Amino acid sequence: MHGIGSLGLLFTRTTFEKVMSKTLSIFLLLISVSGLAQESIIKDFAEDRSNLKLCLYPSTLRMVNIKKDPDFYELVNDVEKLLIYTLDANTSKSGSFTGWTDEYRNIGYEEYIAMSGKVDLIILGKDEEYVGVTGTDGNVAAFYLRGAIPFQKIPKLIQTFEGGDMLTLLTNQLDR
Amino acid sequence: MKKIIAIVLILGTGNLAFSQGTVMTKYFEKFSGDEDFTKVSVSSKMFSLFTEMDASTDDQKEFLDAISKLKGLKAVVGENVESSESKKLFNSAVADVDKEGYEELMTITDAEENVKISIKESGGKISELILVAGGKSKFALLSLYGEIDLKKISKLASSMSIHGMHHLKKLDDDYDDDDNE
Repeated sequence: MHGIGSLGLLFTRTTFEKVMSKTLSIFLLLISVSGLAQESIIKDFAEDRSNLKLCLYPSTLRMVNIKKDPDFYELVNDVEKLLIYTLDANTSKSGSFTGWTDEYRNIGYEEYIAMSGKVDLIILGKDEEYVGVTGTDGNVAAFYLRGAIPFQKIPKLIQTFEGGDMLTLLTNQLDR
Repeated sequence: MKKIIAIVLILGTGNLAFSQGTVMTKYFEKFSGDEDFTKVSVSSKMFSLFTEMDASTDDQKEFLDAISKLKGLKAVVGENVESSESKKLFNSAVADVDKEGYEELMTITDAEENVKISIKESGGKISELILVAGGKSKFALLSLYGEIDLKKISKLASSMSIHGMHHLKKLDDDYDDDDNE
C-alpha cells in the first residue's frame, strides 16, 4: 500500500496524461493494425484475383438503398465496412478459392456455415467480423464484413430480393 | 484401480464423441469433390444466433426453441443420382448407421422414396438424429445433433429447405397419433 501511494505521488497530472496519451496511442495503433491484419488475408488473396472490388461503408450502403427498404436499412445500419470481391474466371473455376479461409480459422474465426457442391458457401466469424466466400456456376465472390448484423432481418430481406446472396442483393441495388 | 477406471472412462467418452460424427464424416469425405452432391454443415455458432431472434408467433417461438438447443446440422444431398446408385447408397448408409449403434425410430417405404430415421439416445435424451433417404434419383443423409425434442422437430422440417427434412414432419404426425391413443 505504501509502495502504491509513493508511486502515486511521483506522478504529476502532466506525467499521468502523457503516459495515458501514449498508452491510448499504442492501443489505437494495435487495434488498427490488428484490423488491417485481418483484412489483409482476404486482400492478399483477392486483390490480384478479382475483376470487381466493392468497398462499402455505412454512407455508401445507405446510398445503394434507393428503394428505401427499411429492412435493408436495419440490416446495414451497424455495418462499419463491407468488402466484396468477385473473383476472376480462372480463380472461380480452379476450385481453389476457399483455401484462404483456413488462415482465418487459424486466427480464431469460427465456422457458421459451410456448403459445397453446385453452390459453395463458407461463412466464418469472430466477434463482429465476418469473412466468407459464395459461388455458383463459376461465379464466385469473397467478402469481408466488419460490424454488427441483425441476423433476424436476413430471411425477410432474402425473401424481398429474388436471388438470395448478398452480392446479388447489392448488385441489384447498384444496377437500379 | 481408480486410475484404470478413470482412463477407461476418458477413453470411452472420447470414443462416444468421436463415433457421433463417423457416418457423416465418411460421406462428406466420399463426396468431397463431387459437385452432384451438396454438402452442408451448420455449426452451433450459427444456431446460437437464432437465440437472439425475437419470435412474434407461437410457431416461431417453437421453432426458435427447437433450434436453439441444436449443436449442429450436417447433410449430404445428391440429386440426379442414377436409380441403382441411389439404392446402393441408401443401403450402404443404412448399414453404416446401424453399425454405429443408432436406434431405429421410423422407416418409410413408398414408391417414390425409402426413408429411415434413427437416433442416438443417452440418459433419456436424444443427442443425434440421423435420416437416410433414397429415391429414384435422389439420396440424402442428414444428421442433427444437440438436444433434440422429437415433438418440436417438425417445426425445423417446415422451416429448412433441405431435401429430406420434410420427412421429419412425419415424426410429429406419429407423435400426435400416439397422444390420441
